[in-house]
Amino acid sequence: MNLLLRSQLRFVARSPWSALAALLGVVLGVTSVVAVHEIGTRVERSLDRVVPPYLAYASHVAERPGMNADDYFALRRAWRAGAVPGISAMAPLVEGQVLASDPDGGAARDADSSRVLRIVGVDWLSLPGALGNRAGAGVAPVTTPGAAGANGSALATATIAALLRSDTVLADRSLGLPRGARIAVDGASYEVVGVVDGQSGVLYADIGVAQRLLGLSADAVSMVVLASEDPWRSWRVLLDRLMPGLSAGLAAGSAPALPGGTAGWRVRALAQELPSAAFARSVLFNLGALGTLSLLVAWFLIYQVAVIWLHRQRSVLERLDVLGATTAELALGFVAVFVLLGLAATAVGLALGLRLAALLAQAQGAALASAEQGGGFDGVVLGKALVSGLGVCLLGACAAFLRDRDRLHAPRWLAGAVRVLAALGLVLGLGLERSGLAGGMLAVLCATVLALSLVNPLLRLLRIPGVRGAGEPRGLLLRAGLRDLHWYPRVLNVALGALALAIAVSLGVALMVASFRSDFTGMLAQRLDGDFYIRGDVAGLAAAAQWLQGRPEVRRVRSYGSAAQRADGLPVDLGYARFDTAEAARYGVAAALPVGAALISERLARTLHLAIGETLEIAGRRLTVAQTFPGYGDARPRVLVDVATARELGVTLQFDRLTVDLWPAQSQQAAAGLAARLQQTFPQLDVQSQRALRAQALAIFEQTFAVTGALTLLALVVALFGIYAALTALRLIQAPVLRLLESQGVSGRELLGVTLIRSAATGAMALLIALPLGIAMAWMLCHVINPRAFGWTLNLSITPGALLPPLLGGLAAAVMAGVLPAPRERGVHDAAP
Amino acid sequence: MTLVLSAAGLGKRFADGRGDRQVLADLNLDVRRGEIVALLGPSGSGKTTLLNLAAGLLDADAGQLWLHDENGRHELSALDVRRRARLRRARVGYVFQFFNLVPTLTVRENVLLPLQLNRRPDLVGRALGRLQALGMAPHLDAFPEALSGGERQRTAIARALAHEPLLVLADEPTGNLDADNAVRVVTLLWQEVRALDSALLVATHDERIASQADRILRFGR
Repeated sequence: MNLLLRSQLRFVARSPWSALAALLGVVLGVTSVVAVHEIGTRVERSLDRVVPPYLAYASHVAERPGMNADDYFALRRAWRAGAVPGISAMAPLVEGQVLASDPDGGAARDADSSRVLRIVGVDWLSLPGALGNRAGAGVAPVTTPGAAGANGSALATATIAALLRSDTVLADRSLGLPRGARIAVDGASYEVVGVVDGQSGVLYADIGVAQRLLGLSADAVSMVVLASEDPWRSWRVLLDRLMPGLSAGLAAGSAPALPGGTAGWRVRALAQELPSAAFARSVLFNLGALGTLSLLVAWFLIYQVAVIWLHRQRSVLERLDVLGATTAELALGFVAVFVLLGLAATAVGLALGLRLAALLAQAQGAALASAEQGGGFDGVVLGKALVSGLGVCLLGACAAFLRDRDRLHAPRWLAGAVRVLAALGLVLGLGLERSGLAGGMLAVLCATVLALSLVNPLLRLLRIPGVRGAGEPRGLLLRAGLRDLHWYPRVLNVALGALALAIAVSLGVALMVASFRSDFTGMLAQRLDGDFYIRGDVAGLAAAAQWLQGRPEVRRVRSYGSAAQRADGLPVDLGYARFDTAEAARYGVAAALPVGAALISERLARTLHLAIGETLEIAGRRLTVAQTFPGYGDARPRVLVDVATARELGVTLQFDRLTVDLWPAQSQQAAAGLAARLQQTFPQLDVQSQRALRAQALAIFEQTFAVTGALTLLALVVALFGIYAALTALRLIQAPVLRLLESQGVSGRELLGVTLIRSAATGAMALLIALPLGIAMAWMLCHVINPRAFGWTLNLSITPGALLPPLLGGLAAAVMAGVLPAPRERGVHDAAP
Repeated sequence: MTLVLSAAGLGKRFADGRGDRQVLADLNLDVRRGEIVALLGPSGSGKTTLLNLAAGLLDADAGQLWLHDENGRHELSALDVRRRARLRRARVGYVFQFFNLVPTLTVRENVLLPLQLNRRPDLVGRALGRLQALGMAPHLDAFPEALSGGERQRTAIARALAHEPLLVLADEPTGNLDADNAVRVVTLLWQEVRALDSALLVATHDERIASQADRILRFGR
């Protein structure tokens, strides 16, 4: 074996603790990357399942107010004439709601055995790939490959052939209708020829069957499904392979331009048609960002370990230099050890990551666990693990080595150029709404770069002036200690930057979570202000409402229902209730909601660029926006209207939720007693106290952010290790100074005092950078990332409770790093005296 | 003359890769004020060990070592680390072969450091005067990295004598210097120690330097 490598391996054997720390860091990084990839892939697969079959090949949908078949055929002719470039297929679609009954067993479901179903009818033959139709040849499904099939997004040819009969439908799995079951609408019976995972409560049919089911004329068309040729598609797929959800962070591609002769068309990207999938992909993007952060943390650990090992071996390397070993030979021996570490860490990280992903999937329920069956171990994850583990080790070790050998010189102009680019990125990321979630993340990154570029100037500020004259000498030890920070910026700056970043991330996330908690608690207090919440079947709820209204302790019973609708062509949940003064007050509206007025979720307002007082179109009627509301956690945009408005919109009212308000004088026991009697009388209903629901919602909230809290704590722990390693390196450099001071009679306590002050000064400098950066991050999370990812804004509230723990934690980490003893590892300096 | 340092049956062993090694054995020694004692011997013969024992930086394995001052005699091995540090900072000055100065303190600050530690502002003027007498006036506000080897050693001498200690320990103080600078530094050290009537224990392997001492203590391996 090469003697230089042998020497390095023996050195590592003598440095077990730092080697273990480095190994753990890389294992952590690889585990995160693998787990995020696996979870992301499973989520992608499960998302593919919710893509309804008619959208399997779609990229956009287009519609225009009052459209019919003539509009569709005009568009089709224009397309065939080459006037609609970039489109590879188009298909007409109708949709609507019907009251259907189940002739086989409906009585078991509803008292009157009927329910409202959403019908979607498509001209399946126009879709690419259907029954050998080659119109869309070469157009791959827009969803991830491998998800197609009878149970996936695209339908099997046989299923489409069966759908072309005049009495067949396809049922969404949520309807609970097995294949072969029959469903009755307006006296006609239809056979279910297949079951798919798609949109909840939907029956799919051929367009002609759907028109009949909905009672529409043969020229009725609701919208047109478009499949466009996306030149960036392969890039998006590649990005998603690299980091699941990454493409969701990018701005949507421009919609195909429909010709002037078809003016009035509204074209929407698929993401707007499938808001819940877009929502989930945003979550995936955030997960991916966290995985990348863990790699950065791993790199930092490796870098710090490499720095400290280089310091410990300095005299050996100098001697080898004198012996004629070239820098390349020395580098090779040094870096080879890290490569071996990287390989070991990759193997362990890969195994742990796969296991963690399996456990998380299991915890998340059947959807993700079953997605596993379609996947299994793929080469991409192995490649990612190897690239992550080895890449981090190579980059960390090389950076430390080159820096140590003074070979890593960035020209002065480069730092300036990076700052200018970061400032530009920040402005663009914040200002360009179209840059999407990726733009928001870019802004956070650029703000971080700008803040961290202050580390060296801050260290330079510690140029403490010398004592002048012949006065009484004071604070010389302290001066020496603080000047160390100024004198050895190369030892400290990376660790200081990492500590500042860790504190800033903790602070930013803590402020965001606290703001979110505050807004969320406010929303819960407003929305869940009743005493009971009851869910169940429509008939049961109607009977329960009647039962409750006869009770003396009940002040009010409120009924709620919802229906799938389109607002300005966008799919929304339309919620309806009696919006009297009390109900309207729950959403911050002072008076009862008049007919024609609507409350819309912030997400919908954002997507449609609507403000209070403006109007939106639902079912051919224009409604005025009376107020917007946050709608945290809603997967789809929501519109709330009074029951009278809902009736005007042609909605078949079905109340599936009740809330019950008791008179204020009622005791807890009386309320519990009433709830128990209610549950006893109507065992099929789900009765819950609003108080319990509030507690449950808050518990889920805390549980959701527990992972975030753990990650930020981990970042602080890693930063503690980093600053500890940097201060240890400083101590190694200063070992002769310490011996000198000891010989001058400086006591251990005095030295400890200086170390403490120096560490605290390090922490204070980190805080100086972290405080504004953390607040800026929190602002961006609340006002840029959250709106772009999920469509809601959070009111940033800066409270001492959220502010102090990360700041004190960071300061404590710095002080602890200075006080912790240096590792007792036998290095080359530790020969016998 | 007043006794400053005395040792009786002093012994010290070190463990290294070759096993236990006896560095000092049954050493008896008396050093008095104004006396210059040269410790002469090859590398590894125990000269530095004796200096470190005298400074209280090491513990003896056998025998006793006393530092004498106006408060009586202090057996170093009987004192805890903190008391030894206090005694050292007040009574001992130390000059090393190299790395004598705190790199992040200026020349002036390095020399004033023992005065700060001993809370002796009354000696600031004399200490700075000595520094000027040693030819360091132009470099008072310079950091050690800007000094030559000779200038650093002169600063180290000024620092070792700043608090006017009873005992000055010098470990190969000229080992890192050229011949001219070595003579100059030794002459200065001798002059200043005699001027203060301190005792000087100087470790060297240079016969010429040792020959200028009042007494030579020879060490062998």
